[in-house]
Amino acid sequence: MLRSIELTVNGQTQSVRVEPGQVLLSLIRNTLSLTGAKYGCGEAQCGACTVLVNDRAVRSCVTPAESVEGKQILTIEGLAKNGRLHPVQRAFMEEGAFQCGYCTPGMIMSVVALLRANPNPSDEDVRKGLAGNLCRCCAYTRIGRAVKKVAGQRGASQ
Amino acid sequence: MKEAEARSELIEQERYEISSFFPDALGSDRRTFLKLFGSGLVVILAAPASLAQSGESGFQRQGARGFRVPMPKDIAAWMRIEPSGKITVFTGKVEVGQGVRTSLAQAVAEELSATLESIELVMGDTDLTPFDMGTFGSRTTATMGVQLRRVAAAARGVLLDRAADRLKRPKSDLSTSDGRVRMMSKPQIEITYGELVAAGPINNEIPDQIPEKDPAQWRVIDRPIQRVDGLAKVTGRALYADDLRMPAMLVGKVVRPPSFGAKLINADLSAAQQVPGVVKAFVDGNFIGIAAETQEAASQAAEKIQAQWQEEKGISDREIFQWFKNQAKPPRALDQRGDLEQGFAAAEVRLQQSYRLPYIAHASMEPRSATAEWKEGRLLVHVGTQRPFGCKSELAVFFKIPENQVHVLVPATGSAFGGKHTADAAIEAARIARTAGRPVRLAWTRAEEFTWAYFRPAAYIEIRSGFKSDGTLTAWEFHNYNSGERGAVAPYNIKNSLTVFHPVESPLRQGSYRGLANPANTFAREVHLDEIGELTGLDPVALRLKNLADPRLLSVLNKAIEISGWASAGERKNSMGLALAVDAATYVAEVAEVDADSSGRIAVTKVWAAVDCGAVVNPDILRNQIEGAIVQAIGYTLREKILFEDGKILTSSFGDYLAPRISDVPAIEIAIVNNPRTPSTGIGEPPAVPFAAAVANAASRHLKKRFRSLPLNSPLD
Repeated sequence: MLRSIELTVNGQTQSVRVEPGQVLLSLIRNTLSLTGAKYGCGEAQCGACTVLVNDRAVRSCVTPAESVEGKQILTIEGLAKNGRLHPVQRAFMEEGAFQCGYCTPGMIMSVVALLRANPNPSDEDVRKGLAGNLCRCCAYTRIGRAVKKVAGQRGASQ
Repeated sequence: MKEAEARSELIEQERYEISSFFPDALGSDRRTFLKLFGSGLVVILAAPASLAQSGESGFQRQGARGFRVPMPKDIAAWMRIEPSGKITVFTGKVEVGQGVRTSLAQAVAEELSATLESIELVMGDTDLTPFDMGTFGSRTTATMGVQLRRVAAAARGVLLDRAADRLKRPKSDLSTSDGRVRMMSKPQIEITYGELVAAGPINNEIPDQIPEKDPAQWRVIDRPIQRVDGLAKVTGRALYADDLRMPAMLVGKVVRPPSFGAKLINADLSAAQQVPGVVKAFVDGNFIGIAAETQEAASQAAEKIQAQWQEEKGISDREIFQWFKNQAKPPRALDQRGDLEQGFAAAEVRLQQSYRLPYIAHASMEPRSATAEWKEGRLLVHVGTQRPFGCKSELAVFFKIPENQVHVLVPATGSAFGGKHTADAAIEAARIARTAGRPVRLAWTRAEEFTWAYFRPAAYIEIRSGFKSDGTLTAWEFHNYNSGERGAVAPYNIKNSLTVFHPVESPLRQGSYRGLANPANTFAREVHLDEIGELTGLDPVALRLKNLADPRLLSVLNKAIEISGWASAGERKNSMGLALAVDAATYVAEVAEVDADSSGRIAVTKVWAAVDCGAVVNPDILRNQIEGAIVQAIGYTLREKILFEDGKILTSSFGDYLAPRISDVPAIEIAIVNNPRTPSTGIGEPPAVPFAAAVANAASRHLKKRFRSLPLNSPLD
């Protein structure tokens, strides 16, 4: 029994069919072919699947697809605007804040959510804000540096 | 490094899983796996066909250490320059996160005098790249980096010859930069590499002797250039195996046995076959495969399959170390020096202790995944792996087809750490694709990854030592059970010693892991040394200096002492620990500082690392590797362990298996002993090697109790 829902993904409102038992991650990756968000654990333990729903970071691997009806979804693919990288993406590149890159889309989306909620996070805020995102390559030192870099730039531009 | 080493790859026998793949219904045919355990048989059988393709002949055995594989001599096998100026480099090495797509391109850009932007690497494509045993052993920079520099230098030589002909000028009047040859006497006259290959591609051989650039002239090597694949990674555009979509592609799934060694008695597939979207559910021996239009349908079908299994009795984690001692096969002496009994007789103090490390998981963020497509009998596979050619051989053997009927491509790969040497997911995807008659992609779940992948071997290590009261070691007897040989021979100046490896039939599937057995062997050795320090009242540094002769090891030790302020740390030193290691010909000294909460749970607060890995190609990628190795090692040092009971893995999620998180990250200070004139050695593994011992030694001082088992915060009984 397929059901259609309407939602906005990366600024585009569309109607999509939802499979029974489908989670948001599968909807994004398999139905919409946006494969940036990754499966890492399927139980909200690693954060590789993180996307923003109405500006809040969610673990899409445990979010029922039907629950996002009418909502705004932002994935890694929608972060760059008009060919310009988001400051968090730029900072990740400049700081070399990744190795294999598999956790990176989820990590970046968590950082974006963190900075939207708290534009000037302390070290402790960063640790708390990214506690749910695993990077098995353990590029954490650089990830922390990238977050502070973006926060610093924003502070300077305000 | 010797020339022969630079032009070939060493394969250590210790990489059990290479000689031990057991593709048939993974996990249910452990016997086959064990039969081949440690024999190196499959390596020998599987490789010659691939070698024949690359125009090379067989392996060279390197004593007990393993095998060497020669590399092609033609420039064209490694590099193609297009008339457009685009340079394509072919290597069987793969990028799994370690940054070699960037550092190898830097090596080529340097020796070829080309821009980094003009260079593209084709990596791990078995139809296009020269045969390669695999990306492991921290060998990419040390061997492939050297090889590609030679290729690039040779190509540059050919381009200079052609330019000299065209311009009718002696080569002494020509210089190269940014992909062009310029006349020095008339700098406005230049020819691009593209123009020089328009007449014909470069088909020359790589000369035996080939001058490389002097390090003083380096412009690309030893620069912290950003990762060339960074944009793809931060935009989500990098495609991993499970991101690939093809027309008519199905989702594959495997129904696993309930425990290791279980045999399938029967399976009722009828309910599964009725799930809408299921294209095929089938049994093949011990293997239950499903092909469905969607992931959801595949999962629902798997749940609806009623299977009966006959299970075997298995052992549990609590018994494992005793099992190792009881079940050990004939031992192998790795090293023997002097007269051990005389050494013990000369000793003033003797110490005997044992050390234990559990099985641990690689837990790469990307679980095993693959796509498979059969086209007119030829199999095309995309799989995230460290051994594309090994996977190709496994697939050919499994499906009983010639190797040239298998094409393996390595897409972006979500880390490996020694854990992605086998073709498991590729074989499963190909089996299901063959039965379903359509392309299939298949990705393991996290629980499958924790349960059915192979582990770092658990280790039981015994050391018996004798020493003078001034700390001089007079006798050293070292026994490793099950975990392996690498790093077992102590890098100290010990006159009388015996080092022995005792192989065991591991009850769990085990294989390569960052540093192989060296982290375990170094842990035991360096903790034991601190125990000797305690008995003799010697400072850990003084004790090591007493027994150390290797100048490079001495220099990293001194550097670590310097940056950590060891000598003047005063009270703080009671929470600091030190350890040394040599791994992949790289020298590492690490100092760790710890703290503990009221329950005695240890946290690492600061780490100082001194590393000598010879010439540095990309200092930023190097630091990233060192930081990553150290933080990852916090996991196996403090918390990570695989628990199992009666053949069942109990630790099957990130909720049970506690990998390091950002809150675990200590302050890290790194000193690189960078000598551009010393050949580059490995960096992927070495910094992870001495870490656990440094932390255990710090914890022992801090809590005034000796730690001899990992993980420190919850060791196995």
